Amino acid sequence: MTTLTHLQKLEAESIQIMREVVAEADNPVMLYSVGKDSAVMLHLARKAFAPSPPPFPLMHVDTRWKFQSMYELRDRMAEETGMDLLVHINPEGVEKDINPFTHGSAIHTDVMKTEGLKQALDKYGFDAAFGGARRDEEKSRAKERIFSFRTAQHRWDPKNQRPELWKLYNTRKHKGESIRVFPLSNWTELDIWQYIYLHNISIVPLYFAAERPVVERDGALIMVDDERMPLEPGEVPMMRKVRFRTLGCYPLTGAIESEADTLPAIIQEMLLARTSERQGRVIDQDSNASMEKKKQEGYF
Amino acid sequence: MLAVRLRLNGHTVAEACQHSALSAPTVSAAWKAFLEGGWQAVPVKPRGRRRGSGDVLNSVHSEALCRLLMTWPSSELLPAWNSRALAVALAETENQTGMSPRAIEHWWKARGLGVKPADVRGLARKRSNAGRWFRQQVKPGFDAAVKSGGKCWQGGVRVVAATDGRDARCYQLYLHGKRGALHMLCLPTPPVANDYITLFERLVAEARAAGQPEALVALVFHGAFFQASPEIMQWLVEHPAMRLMPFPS
Repeated sequence: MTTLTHLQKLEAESIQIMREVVAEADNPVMLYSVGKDSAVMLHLARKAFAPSPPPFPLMHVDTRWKFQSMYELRDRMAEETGMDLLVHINPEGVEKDINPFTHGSAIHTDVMKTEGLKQALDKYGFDAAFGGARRDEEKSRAKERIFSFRTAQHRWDPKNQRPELWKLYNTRKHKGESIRVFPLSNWTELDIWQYIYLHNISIVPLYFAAERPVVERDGALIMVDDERMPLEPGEVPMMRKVRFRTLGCYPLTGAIESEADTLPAIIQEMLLARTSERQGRVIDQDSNASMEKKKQEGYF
Repeated sequence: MLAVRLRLNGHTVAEACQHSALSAPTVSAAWKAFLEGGWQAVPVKPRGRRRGSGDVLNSVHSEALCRLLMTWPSSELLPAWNSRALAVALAETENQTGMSPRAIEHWWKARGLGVKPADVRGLARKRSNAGRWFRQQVKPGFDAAVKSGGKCWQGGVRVVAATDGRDARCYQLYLHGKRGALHMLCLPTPPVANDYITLFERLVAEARAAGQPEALVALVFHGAFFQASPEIMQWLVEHPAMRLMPFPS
């Protein structure tokens, strides 16, 4: 009898969850944020339904402020996998030109991400959405179930969650309800990196350390990814060797100084890390329990 | 003494030199002195400086140096502080006499400020983007500067972490001149366009001080993204004497 490694066990669990959703849901979708978790989730989905492509589309809720290399990888992966890629941008946000600089991170996240996601789910009538959230990322994500039920208004009630004993998932939905499904819930950041290394999964190059133009904003290193980034009078970005542990909208994502430019070096760095990857996200520091409040309102 | 003992044992001058790490004339002189006056006549001199006799920078010196490094040198013909200018300024403005440039260089090293120049000329034969950058931009820039009687510099900006609990980290603007001589300025905040422009102006002034009004300055710079600064790009257009070549990332 062969014993599965911990990564193989996590992989098997995630594949089982994905197959369960496809069997039970009417119209599932995979939310694709182009980060490392999304890359692993996409790889698992392809593996779960091979040799045919996964029986659901990919959906990217775009804010127009992602890193340029994320857009490049997103389009390349959609072409490679042969899956439909749905890109949704909140038209109201575009009309009002909502951006992280003039409107602040809270409004930008609410309008472009939370409202954008709700609009997209309603527009296409998706009743189950896969997401790459993990429990080790943030405390409110730690208490969320793998199958997270949302009301017709996409609200999450953390005090009303279904038990998932012995990995048995109750997928029955009330009318209008939808499910957010997190197949990577039990993975850690280190597991993700080890799996990427083991399976040679394509990820955005921003995860690897390289010299990049950055400016300091409230102690965070923000990369100057395009000319839209407003600089202070006389400010000159510095070229520093940085990498990203997490990727979001570039004005709201802090880089870390690092020398890790290969996967083994990143894994080595992970082994010594004592902080969450979400420390680099400006949106998580808006207020106490910021993520939980956002999640209750419909954020992923 | 060891050299004489070796000679007594029949070793040649060359062998005695090798074992005692003394020069041949010293060994010969010691042997001659021994033959003439015995062991008492052999000159024995202590080697090197005595332990503890070197310049030691105390906290007063250290604070004075930190203060100086955060300001531009008073002489506009000096692009930034070098160890010699710091030693003079320390004596003149801070009344801290007797501090040698070498002691200051050791202090730099201890605080992580002793940056070494990148081997840019070593890229000449490299078949890479960096090699192409050197051949297409740096080499012609350096050649033009030398031809005009100007100067070639290498420099950059970097963050230096605090070496003790008291001081915050600093942003070090550094330059390497002829034979790798280190010049620097340490700022408490990231340098802004005006800081870079002041540095460039000082470099041009220093090159022209030797009486060459058309002298060019070629500067290879690492660590700043000048393309994003309209002020610096504008200044460079208005001052063609400065050939700025940002290091490729």
